[in-house]
Amino acid sequence: MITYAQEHGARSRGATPMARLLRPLLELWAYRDLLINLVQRDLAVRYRRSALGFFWSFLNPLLMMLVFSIVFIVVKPLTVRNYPLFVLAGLLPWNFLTGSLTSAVRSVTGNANLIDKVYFPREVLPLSAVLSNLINFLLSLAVFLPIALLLGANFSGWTLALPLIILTQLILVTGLALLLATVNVFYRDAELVLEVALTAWFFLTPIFYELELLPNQLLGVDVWRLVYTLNPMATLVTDYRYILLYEYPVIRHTLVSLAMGLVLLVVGWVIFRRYSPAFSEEV
Amino acid sequence: MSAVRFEHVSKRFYLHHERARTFQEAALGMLRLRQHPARSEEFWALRDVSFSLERGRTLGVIGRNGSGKSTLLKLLAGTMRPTAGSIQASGRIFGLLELAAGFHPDLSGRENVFLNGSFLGLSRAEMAARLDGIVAFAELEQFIDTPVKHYSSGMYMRLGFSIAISIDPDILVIDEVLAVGDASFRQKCFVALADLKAHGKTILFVTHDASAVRRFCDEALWLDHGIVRAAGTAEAVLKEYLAETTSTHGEALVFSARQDDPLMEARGFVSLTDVVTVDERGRPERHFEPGQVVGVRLRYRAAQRASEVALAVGLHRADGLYVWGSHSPPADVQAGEHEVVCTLGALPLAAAEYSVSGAVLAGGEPVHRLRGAALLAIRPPRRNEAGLLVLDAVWSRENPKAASDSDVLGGDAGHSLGPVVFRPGTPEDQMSAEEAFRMRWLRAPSRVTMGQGEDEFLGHGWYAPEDWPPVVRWTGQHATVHLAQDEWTSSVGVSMGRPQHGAQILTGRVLVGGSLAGTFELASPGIEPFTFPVEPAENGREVEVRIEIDNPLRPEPGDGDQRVLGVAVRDVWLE
Repeated sequence: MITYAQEHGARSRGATPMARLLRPLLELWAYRDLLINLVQRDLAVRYRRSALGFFWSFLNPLLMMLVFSIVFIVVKPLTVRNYPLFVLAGLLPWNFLTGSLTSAVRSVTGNANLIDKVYFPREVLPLSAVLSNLINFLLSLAVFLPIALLLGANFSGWTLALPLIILTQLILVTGLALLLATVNVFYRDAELVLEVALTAWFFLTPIFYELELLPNQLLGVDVWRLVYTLNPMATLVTDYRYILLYEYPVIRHTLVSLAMGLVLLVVGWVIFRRYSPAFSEEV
Repeated sequence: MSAVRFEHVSKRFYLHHERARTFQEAALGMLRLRQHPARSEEFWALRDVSFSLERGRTLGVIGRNGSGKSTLLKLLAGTMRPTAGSIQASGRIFGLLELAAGFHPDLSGRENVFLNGSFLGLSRAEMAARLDGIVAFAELEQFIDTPVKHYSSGMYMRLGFSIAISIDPDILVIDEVLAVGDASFRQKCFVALADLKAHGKTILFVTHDASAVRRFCDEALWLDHGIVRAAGTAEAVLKEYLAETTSTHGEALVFSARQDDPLMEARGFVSLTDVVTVDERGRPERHFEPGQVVGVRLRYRAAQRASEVALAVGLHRADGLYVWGSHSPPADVQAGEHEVVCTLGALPLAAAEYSVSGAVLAGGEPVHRLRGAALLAIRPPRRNEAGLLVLDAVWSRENPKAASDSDVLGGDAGHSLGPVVFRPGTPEDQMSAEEAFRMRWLRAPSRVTMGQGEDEFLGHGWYAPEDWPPVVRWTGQHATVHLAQDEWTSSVGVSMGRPQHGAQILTGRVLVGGSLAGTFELASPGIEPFTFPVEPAENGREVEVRIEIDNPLRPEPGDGDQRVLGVAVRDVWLE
């Protein structure tokens, strides 16, 4: 049983910096069952009463893959080896990102009733949105890997780096989720902006094309490098492909993406903590 | 040691008519030339509130709507932070600000118990250990695996409250939630809270119901526009509060007998074992017609010979109003079991639910009390009366026309009526046959459960009971049942299921008193509860609840079962 002394108002006074850093984490740990239950709830509600259940979330990228395959194999051929797999390997992590962000952005505002009535660490709301999408993503990968193997993907030692790539993406997505959830409390158009931004981001990320199709040098700028450094999703999507389909090593830009993700996570968390006490007055 | 301490706590809100809610407004705001763009209006919900509550005490926070009560509780529960001042609370706080907050409609009752528990910081294992107790207390054994969106509001609240009290918090914060549920469950809630209190829990109770504070709290805090108007013992604060709010029946509350909790447990050598209400023939009965004789039978046990033993009976209305109390003359008793009946006679009370408490005194000291031990419901009378009591009132007036006619005409027997007399109540022997028939239905229950003596209240369209289990009855295309609808009724419920065979979706509707309450669709077999809203009846009446099926299962030629089957019904209720 968890018993702790609460001191509202005087909460941070006199606390050492270390304690101030640890307290949110300890509190979150104490509420881990809530996180688990919310993730279970998300998944249960999503798949209950649908005959195909989880496969719906795999069906969506499958259909997208089909459309892109028709366009870029039949209508305007691209010289990409095993194009359907190529697209699918990009779409799955992309859907993890969009699914997480679109549900995280509403996670606080959509639970106004709870926020107002019950005290619990507010982080669990965006975190559960991200985690339930992560589980979904992992399940999709579990379906994807045997298919990929069947269709001629080459797994290598680099495939073992997959968990690290997923972790990098998780860090990035969590940081953005915390940030968006906070902003949406105060400015409700964050969710509308997100919708537009995600569409733009989708086209700026090499999901249905290879980045290498773009010219490398343009006006004296190294375009590939610029995209890989500025768009961590471009790096990550390429990473997924390299290690799942092509046996290529992936170190190059991944560390930059990881650094970017960590910065976003810290900034997102700090901002979330800073503004979460005001949530109950604003939602 | 104080469990809760507020020191100079203030809370300021900004009223948001000028605040930017979108990027566009924010951008426009920046373009504004004036340095301070029309500041939001300040509003102090609480100003300099200080108090402390010792561990194990119960504090009632009273005040009108908008006096800052809810803000105070939210600050304590930690969902808001004070603008100034400090709040200290030690131990696990549980805020019962809204029962069932966080229930997800698509999840079953059982899943919601775990979810709700985790919002309060309890692990799955801790909730699993409590599950049986929660379900039993909520009386939802049958429906615990049904999605809560099919629950009635009463069932929702019962589950929420059961979870709340099972959490075993050190500090319990309650906001008006006891205004929900039917009278018997409310009574159960109060008993459960008294139990928590007896176990040393600290309770903060926010309400504008003075009677609830009166019966339940040690201390009270009166808030008025965010400022503490009075604080101290419940008695003293209520006196001031009621003096100002000039509540007419508040008077009665102030002077009603105080009920203490320590006596809820039998500690002495004389203890009560049973308190029941009985009818004029001494048979246990809970539902009484207006004017019917009511008795209370008390059974008690004396462990040894005792002198000057007296028994007391008290009557409270469901909302806590102390209605009546009395005790027997003291007498010496031998060791062993004893029984005493207190005949109250016909109660001149208006239709409502009342709770009966029993107590035993020895040597002038109360030694054991069973509070809310029995419930007694008085049926609505067919009278044009309202209020607390049923009186033998008579309306009379001179009939000037008749009087002048008889003067002029010299007394025509047919017209010289003298005063016109009208009694609000009509004795049963003067009723027409039709009225007598309708009187029968005044005994109609508010719930009919198949297999429990329901025959009298079922109309047409029912087949013989079948033991599934539980017992169900099949309807034909239409079926009716007669139930009592009163001024507290807000919904009609039917728990039903469709035949196992036949593939189509079964659709139908429920009508109450001839008007449509709602429609339903049954796609898969299994009994599920459906509830629909209905208008309450002003004075209580008996209504026909009708279940109609659009597409009942017609028997196939050569099929063994030749019945036209609608739905299998388990219960039908109004609440």
